[in-house]
Amino acid sequence: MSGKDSLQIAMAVASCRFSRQLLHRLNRGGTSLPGKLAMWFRRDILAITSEGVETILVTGTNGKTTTAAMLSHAMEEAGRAPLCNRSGANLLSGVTAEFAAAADLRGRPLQGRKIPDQPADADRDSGLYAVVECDEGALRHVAPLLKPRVIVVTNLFRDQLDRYGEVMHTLEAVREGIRLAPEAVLCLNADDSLVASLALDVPNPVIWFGMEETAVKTVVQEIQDTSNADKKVLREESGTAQERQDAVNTVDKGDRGRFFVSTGEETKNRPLSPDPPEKISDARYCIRCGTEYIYRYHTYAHLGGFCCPSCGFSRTVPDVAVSSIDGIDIGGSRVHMRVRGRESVHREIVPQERVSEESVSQELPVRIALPAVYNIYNAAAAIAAYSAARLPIQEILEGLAGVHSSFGRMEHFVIGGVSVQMILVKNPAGCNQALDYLCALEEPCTLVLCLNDLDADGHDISWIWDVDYEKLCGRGNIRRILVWGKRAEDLQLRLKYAGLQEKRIRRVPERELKKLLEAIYKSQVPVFILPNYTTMLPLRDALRRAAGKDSFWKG
Amino acid sequence: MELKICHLYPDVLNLYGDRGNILCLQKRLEWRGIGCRVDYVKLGDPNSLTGYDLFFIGGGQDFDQEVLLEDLCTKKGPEIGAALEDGRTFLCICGGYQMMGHYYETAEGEKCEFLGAIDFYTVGGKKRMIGNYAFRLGEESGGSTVIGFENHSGRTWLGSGVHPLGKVLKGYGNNGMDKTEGVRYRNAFCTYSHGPVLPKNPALADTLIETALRRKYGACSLEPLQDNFENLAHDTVLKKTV
Repeated sequence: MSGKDSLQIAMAVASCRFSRQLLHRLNRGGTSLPGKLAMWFRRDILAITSEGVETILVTGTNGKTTTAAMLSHAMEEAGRAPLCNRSGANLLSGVTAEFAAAADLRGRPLQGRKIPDQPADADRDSGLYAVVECDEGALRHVAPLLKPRVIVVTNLFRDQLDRYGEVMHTLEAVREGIRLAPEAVLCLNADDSLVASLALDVPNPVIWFGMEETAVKTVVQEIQDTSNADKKVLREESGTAQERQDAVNTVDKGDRGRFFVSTGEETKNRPLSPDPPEKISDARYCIRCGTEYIYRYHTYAHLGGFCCPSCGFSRTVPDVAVSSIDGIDIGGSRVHMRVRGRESVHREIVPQERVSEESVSQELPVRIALPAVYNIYNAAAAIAAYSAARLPIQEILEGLAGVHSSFGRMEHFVIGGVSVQMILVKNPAGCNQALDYLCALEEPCTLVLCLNDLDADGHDISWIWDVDYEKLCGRGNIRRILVWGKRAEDLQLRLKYAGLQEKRIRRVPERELKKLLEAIYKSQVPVFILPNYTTMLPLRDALRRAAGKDSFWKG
Repeated sequence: MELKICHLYPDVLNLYGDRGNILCLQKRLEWRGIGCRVDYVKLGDPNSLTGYDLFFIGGGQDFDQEVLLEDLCTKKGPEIGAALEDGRTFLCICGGYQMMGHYYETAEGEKCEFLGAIDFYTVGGKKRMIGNYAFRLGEESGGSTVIGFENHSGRTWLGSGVHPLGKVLKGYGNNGMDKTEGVRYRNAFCTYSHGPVLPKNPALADTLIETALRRKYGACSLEPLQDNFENLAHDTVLKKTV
C-alpha cells in the first residue's frame, strides 16, 4: 500500500469518526455527512473497511429493518457482536459511515471478536459479522463495495412511487445490484413472483423462504360481501341527501375482513388478506412472458403460490417454509417451519464440499416475539439468511423468541398504565397488514393514523386510497380514530369514503402534537399508532420520554 | 335513477390510488339516493361495453400497460370510440388519458399506436414531471380549481380541434410548456391528475355525475352534500401548492 493510499484511508476514517461524534454531541443523528466525508477522501472506503467481514445484507420494500433486527439480535445474543446500521441509514453514505467509523486508521475492521467455541467453518470464519439494511435503490452502489456473503430480498411492493417510479424500476435496480454481487448467496421470497424473478439468469446460489398452503389453511377468515349491503341502502329514496349521507356511513358493515386463528380443524382455503387479489396487485402478469399468473393460494397482496400457465415460471418450494401458523396475538406468533437440513442446502451452495448424509428436512416449532403475519415472513427470511451464512440455526431460533421491535416497527410503550403500540406503515401492503392485525384483536382500542408528505415519506400520498380502511367499519372495538400530520385532512377524507362516521374521527392539527399526545395518554384503552416515517420520529421521541426509555442514540 | 359505471382494466391500471375515483362516485351517488352499479371489465373480458353511462380508466405501470395494448386497440377500441362519440361520460387518468390519443412516442423514437379516439399525441421526455399541482377547469367543465398530483414523463400535445380540460395554475400539466392540462372532448374528461382527483375536488366529481345523468335522463340537478372534509382537504393542498 502506498503512502498516499494509507493517508487517504486514515483521513477517511478519521473524518468520518470525528464528524459523527460531533453530530451526535450536537444531537444531530442520522445525517449523511460522515459517510460522504469518508467517501470524499477515499471513494471505495467501504470496500476497504468491510474486507473480511461476513455481511448479511437485507433489502426489499417491507420488513428490511425488522429482518435485520432479528438477525442482529440473534448474533448479539450469541456473542458475535455484529456491526449494524440500525438507525435506518440505509443508503451508500449511511452504510459507509457505519463501517468507516468502526475501522482502525488503517481501514481494518475493528468490531466483532472471535468466538473460540464456534466450530463451524473455523478456517473460513473471520469472526467479524455485519448485518446491513440496504435501500433497494442503493443496492447497486453498496453491493459491489460491500461484497456481502448473503443478500436477503424480503418482498417488493409499490412504495413511494414519486421517488422510485414504479415497482418494476425498483425490481430492475435490485437486479442490477445482485448482478454486481455474483458471489453472494441470495435469500429470496419464494411467494413473491417479482423477487423470485431475481433468481433468473444469475449464477448466485439461492435459498428460498416462503409460506406453504398448509399455513394459509390454518387461518380462517370470514368475508362478507358488503357490496350487496351497500346497494340495499342505496335504494332507500327517502330523506335529504345529508340524512342519507349520515345514515349510510352509520350502517354497520358487519365483521368484514375479520380473521381469527384456528388451531385444529381443516377449513376452507382463504387468503389471509380480506381482499380478493385482483383488487391490488403489483404483479399480476408473468414477468417473463406477460401471461396472467394462476394462484393456487394467496397469503397477502401478490404473495402466494403463483404459476404462469404459459411459460411455467412458478413458485419454488422453499428451503425455509412456514408450514403452519399455530397462533398469533399481541405478544407474537407461534408457527412451525420446515427447514431443509443445513447440509442439504449447502450441497447446492458449495457442491464440491463433502456433506454428511444427515440432510433431511426438519419441522421446527418457531416462536416469534413480534406479532402479525408479515413478521412470520420476516422470521422465515432471517432463518434462511442464517442458514445461508452457515451459522447455527439454533441461534436464530432463540433470537426470534426474544427479538424486540425496532424503531417504530411494532414498538411497544407503556405510559401511565396504558399500552401504546406503534406500527410504522409506509405503503398499502404494509398498512393493510397492520390493519388486519388490529382487526384480529378483540379488545377495545384507540387508533391513531398519522401522515406526512415530506421528502423522506414521498410527496405522493395517494397510496392511502389503495389501503382498505373499509375493514375498520363495524369494528366496534376501535372506539375512536385520531388523525394527525401534514396530510391529516386527506386521511380524514379517506376514512369518510371508507364508510366511517364522521363523528368517530378526530383530526388534530399538525402543529398541535401536544394535543395528540394528551389524547393518547388519556386513553383508557390500548392505543395503536400507525404513523409513516416522519410522523413517527417526533411521536416516538415523545413516547419514549414518557415511557422512560433511553434515547435512540446511544453514542 | 341509476348510473352504470364501467371501470376499465382495474386489474392492470390501478396505480396511485386511482380506484379512489370510483369509490368517490359510488359514495356521492349513494348519499343522494341515486343507484349505482360498477362493473369491472378486465383485460381479455369479452363483455360488451354498451349500456354504460360512465367509463373510468386509470393509470398503470409501463410494463402492465404494454400488456393491455392489444386488447385495448383491437378488441375494445371500436366500442370505446363509439361510446365516446355517443356522448357517454369518460374519466381518464394519466396512462388511461394517453391511450385515448393517437400515439405515444418514446424518447428513443419508438412509436406506440393508441386508440386515436381524441385528437392529441404524447411524446416521452427524460425528466419526469412530478408533484402537487393545480389547474382551473374550463367553463364547460364547471370552472372550479382542481388540485392533484402529477407523475408522468410523457408530454401531451393537443390537436387544434380539442380543448384542454383546464389551465395550469401551478405545476406542469400536459407538457410543462403551454399551460394546458388534460383534454375535454365531448363528455370525456381526461387529466394527468392522480391524488386521486375526484375525492378532493367534489365539484369535478359532481360535474361528471351531472354530465352522465343529463345524457341519460335529460335535465338533472344534484342535491348538495356536506363537503366539509372534501373542501378542507382541497384547500389545504391548494394552499401548499399555489
